[in-house]
Amino acid sequence: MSSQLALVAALAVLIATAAIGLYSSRRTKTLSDFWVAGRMVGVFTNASAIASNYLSAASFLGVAAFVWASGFDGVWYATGFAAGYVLLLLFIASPLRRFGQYTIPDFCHGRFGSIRLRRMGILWTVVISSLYIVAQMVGVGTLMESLTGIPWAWGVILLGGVIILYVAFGGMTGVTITQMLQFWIMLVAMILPLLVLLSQHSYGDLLMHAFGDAGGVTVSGGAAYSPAEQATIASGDQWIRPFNRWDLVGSLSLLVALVCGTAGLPHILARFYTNPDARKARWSTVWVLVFVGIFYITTPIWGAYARMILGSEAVLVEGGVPNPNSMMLVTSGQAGEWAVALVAAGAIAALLSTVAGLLIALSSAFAHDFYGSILRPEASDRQKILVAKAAVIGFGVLAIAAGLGFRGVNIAWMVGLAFAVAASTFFPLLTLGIWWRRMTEAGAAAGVMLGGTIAAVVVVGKLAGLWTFDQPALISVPSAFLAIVVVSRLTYERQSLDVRAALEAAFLALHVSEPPATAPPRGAGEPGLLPAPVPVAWASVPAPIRGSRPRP
Amino acid sequence: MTAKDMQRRQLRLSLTLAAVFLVSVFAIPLLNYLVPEAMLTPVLGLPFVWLYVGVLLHVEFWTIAIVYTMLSNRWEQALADQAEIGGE
Repeated sequence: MSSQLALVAALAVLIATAAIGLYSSRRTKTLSDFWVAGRMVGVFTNASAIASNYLSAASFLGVAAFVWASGFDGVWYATGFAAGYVLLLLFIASPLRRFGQYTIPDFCHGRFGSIRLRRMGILWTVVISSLYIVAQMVGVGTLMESLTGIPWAWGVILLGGVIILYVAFGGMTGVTITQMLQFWIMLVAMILPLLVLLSQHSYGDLLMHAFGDAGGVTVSGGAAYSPAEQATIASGDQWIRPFNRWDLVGSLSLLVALVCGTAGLPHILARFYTNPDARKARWSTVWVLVFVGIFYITTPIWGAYARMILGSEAVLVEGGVPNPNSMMLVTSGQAGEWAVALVAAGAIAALLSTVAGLLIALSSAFAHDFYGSILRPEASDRQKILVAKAAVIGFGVLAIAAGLGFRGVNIAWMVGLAFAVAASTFFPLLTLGIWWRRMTEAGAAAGVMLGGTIAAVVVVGKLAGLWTFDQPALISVPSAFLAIVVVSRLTYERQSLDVRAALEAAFLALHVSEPPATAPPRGAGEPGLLPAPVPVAWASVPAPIRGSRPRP
Repeated sequence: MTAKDMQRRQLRLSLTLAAVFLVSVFAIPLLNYLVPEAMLTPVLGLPFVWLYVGVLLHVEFWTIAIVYTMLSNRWEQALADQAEIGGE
């Protein structure tokens, strides 16, 4: 599998990324540059960067492999991942940008004036992004080993080190530029080899061999797979039918997690703050849907080619995971070395961009939301930037260590879990917090904690063998919504008039249009640059009420 | 039109489009369960449900996104213009 050309391609992407990231550090001077790229990212650049941030190696290689192994159920993954952006656009993107801060914990604090809620925001940001980044780091090792022959642990350390370097120096400004380039590498790597395959095997061939009776793949190599593993491989006619992998309830629950989870992922939402204004935030999302959609339309075609060309040989690897090398295996026999190298470059680009985005989200939770807003709000911008860089390095080293420690974990499942937790915590918080005037701090806290806890309990119970159900979203998401509504209704009337007025003012800040962004203030030390940790709305409310427990 | 009317109008638009979106996505597993054979009818050689989920849903998402963005941005622009004229 590993080849010289693939190694060269992977290293080229790595070096180019590091160089561009480091070069852009010259443009990363202020806190706003570091966290939101100065809020001056154009629609096209930002849409490419969001897509690249979102599409990890799990999407790049994993979804095609899933279709290869499980057939139609894998197609749901491809479309479900894209579908999440619809709700994000309809309910969240533009109001959140208009609210104008840096992170989700900023929203928690600004909308409800509560430090307690900011802390919960930090907690769930760290939980979601950690699940996500550990899965990615484990994937890094596997990918580097199979693509380039670099030993597993060294691959994790090498890639991790490069990412830490350019994220720490370039901040969001550097990440934006590199993510944009990485997206286009990925898209070319996805489409070009596929065109070559299509020229060699016509559409009719593909239909006959992958979908028709001629392709009636039976599970061969019975000795290689355990009975449980064999059950996940769709044989014969079963491949085109739904419910191979999940039953009806499992399919619905997975869809809830994918559709709602995208709109609650901190590393994705962080990118929406980099838009210059709310209108551009909308157009960015439209383009994200187009870019991500084109990408995911190609994945089932890759899966079908894998089934046609490779049959069911090597469809699963260690741990019953669909073979992530499917795209390389398909291209290596058909399109030639250059195509394998291109796929390798695309996969590395996918990994780098996602891990970089996650590192920004994790370090902002510590450096901006905790240090800069709770621990030492009075620190100078210089100090805050230093802490931000230290946080990137700290979380980066932790991620490398976790990647080394969790080798062999099922990464697709971990990413799915991150989606389920995001769907059960931040999605209800944001949708209701943005659109419901009478939501209270207590309601927000109850919903976020209940949703997140149910998701965690379902998963822990499954791991402990108490039940086999492992898709929590169908229960946890409605529970979170219900808790917010019930508790808010019970507590709203008990808020003092000051608090109600402040809640109303914060609500209006989400919906009243700001002047078009021609030239937002730039430059260190300018007071207009930094969003106040708490909007002016909350300034008149006495401090004890803003504290951990609002009781009039 | 006031800012408050505008916000209501936007919410109504978002809810309508979200309803179309949710029905078109969540109906599929249910239809797969209830009428499995009909969902596999070949269209352009592909089982219908593959074509629908793999390609047509994406086109629907794009349409929803473009309709929403164009209308919302137009309304916001109109409100901003109106505020400008009213202010003078």
